[in-house]
Amino acid sequence: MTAITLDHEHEHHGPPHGLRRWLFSTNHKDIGTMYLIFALIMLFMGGASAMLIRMELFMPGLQLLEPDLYNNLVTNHALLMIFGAVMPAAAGMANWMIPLMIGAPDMALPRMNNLSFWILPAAGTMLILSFVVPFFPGGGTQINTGWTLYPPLSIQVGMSMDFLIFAIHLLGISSVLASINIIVTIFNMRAPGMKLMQMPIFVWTWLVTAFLLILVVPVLAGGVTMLLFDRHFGTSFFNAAGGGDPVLFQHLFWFFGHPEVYILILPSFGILAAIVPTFSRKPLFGYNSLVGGMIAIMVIGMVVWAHHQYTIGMSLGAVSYFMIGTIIISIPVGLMVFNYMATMWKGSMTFETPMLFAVAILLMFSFGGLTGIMLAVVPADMQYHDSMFVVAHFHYVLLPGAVFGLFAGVFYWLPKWTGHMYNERLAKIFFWTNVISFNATFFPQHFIGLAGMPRRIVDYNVMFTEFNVISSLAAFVFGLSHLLLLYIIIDTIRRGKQAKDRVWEGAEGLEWELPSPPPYHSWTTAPVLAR
Amino acid sequence: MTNDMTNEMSPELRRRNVRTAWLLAAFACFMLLSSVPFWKGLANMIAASGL
Repeated sequence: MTAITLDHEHEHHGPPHGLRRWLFSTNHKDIGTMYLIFALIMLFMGGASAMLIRMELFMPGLQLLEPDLYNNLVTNHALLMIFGAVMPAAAGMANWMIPLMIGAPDMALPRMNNLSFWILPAAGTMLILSFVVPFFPGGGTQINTGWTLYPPLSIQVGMSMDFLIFAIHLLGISSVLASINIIVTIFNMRAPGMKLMQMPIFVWTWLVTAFLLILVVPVLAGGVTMLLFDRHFGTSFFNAAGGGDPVLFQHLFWFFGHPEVYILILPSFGILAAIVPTFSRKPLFGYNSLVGGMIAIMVIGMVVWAHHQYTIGMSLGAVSYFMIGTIIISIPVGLMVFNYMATMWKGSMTFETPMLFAVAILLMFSFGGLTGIMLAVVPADMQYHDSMFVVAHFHYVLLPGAVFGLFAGVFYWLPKWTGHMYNERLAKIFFWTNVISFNATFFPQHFIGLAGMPRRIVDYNVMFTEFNVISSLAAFVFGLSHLLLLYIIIDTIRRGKQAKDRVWEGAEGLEWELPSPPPYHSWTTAPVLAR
Repeated sequence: MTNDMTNEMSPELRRRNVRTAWLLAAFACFMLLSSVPFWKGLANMIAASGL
């Protein structure tokens, strides 16, 4: 389904002006833009905490940070990046692109869309306060639990933990509302004649992601509510002295936490499904198997959570089940990777920045997947657990799998969003700086992890110094390279050349039939799809 | 038909959207409410069975 009949009678009255446009916006493009700006701000805040962590780890011994502050920053970095940067950025792209891709005039519930977004700044403020409050008189101890918030430590932390629990509740509400909106939009607002199995894969990835969010975020909300009750209302859900079990929290957390990895990765894989055929100038290989693969990822991904907890002392039967399940999940994930490679096979490939990111993602994410299989194996994991090897593994999964995918999406769709082309030369400089410094940062961490350097510890043995120096120096380059991304975006908006409607030669889909930038109200009359 | 920010939709489509949204919200509430007793019960069962 490529040819379409278009109705270009879009409403041409402009958007409202001033603060009202943004504060009360119910327009999917405006809300998408706000999500993306919010995510960019959080990316820099989370990045700043990562820079401080790497500064401290530059040399053994204590340089800048007290141990509690170090662990506060580790917690802060993870939560800001996951809940503040990656999820809102993916939601921003969903807001921008899903209605354009399915021929819908807007999201199904525009007012709820506004609410979903505007909860975020409040939640973000609460999240940042949870890290800052301990520095004020009477603020209590710092959050030194890491993003997993395991009791009993999280029960003993001061009032900052209450701020964090409230922030997680708000973030969860925002995510669930956004997910409901996305599912309703996809189910009810598709252009007439567009069947589910004819939707772009990006839309499919968001359908699966939204269902995953609705399934697992409420469980996290339940878990942190129980934590709140243990802290303040005398319950003993996780308190062993009162008959509770701290391991219960680990199950609740990872029932959310493991599917969360797929929540972060799937939208980026959807972006790849748009980019790879465009720059290979071939149709996407294996549409049906991609859809099947991501549904398999959703189902299997929800029943393998305890591979994060091998060391708690589960029975042989339980760990065997979780090990086998975890290894099985590599099949649908590998299927998606192979589909993209098969799409490239014998294609007329060109390597503009989005495609460079796509190729790099497939290579680096596959590497992260391989170390994931190492970690899935129980006896091996007993050695790797809580080491820097795990840090290297999940950064290889999440940076290429989620963040670089979002960068690829930004470069792919920025000309459509703004109506201006970005500077390809600068973008390629950003790509190479970003990817090389990323590898130089995290690749050495595999070795120091295997050699025994633990994670979440502020100091380390002098034998790990050299690799940590390399890792820190590369991390500073990696962090600073994102200033170039910011510059490219601003430069594109201000000075970029006019983009064509179909920005990329090989691009297919409804979004490319609209002008660049699309009118404020697009698809006011549904497109007529032709077979 | 549009106002300055939102594309108008037919009352029938709006009703269908709201109905689907309530259904999904109810499902999310079910996940929230079931998580506490279900997972606590499962943990107790695993502990009791000595698995």
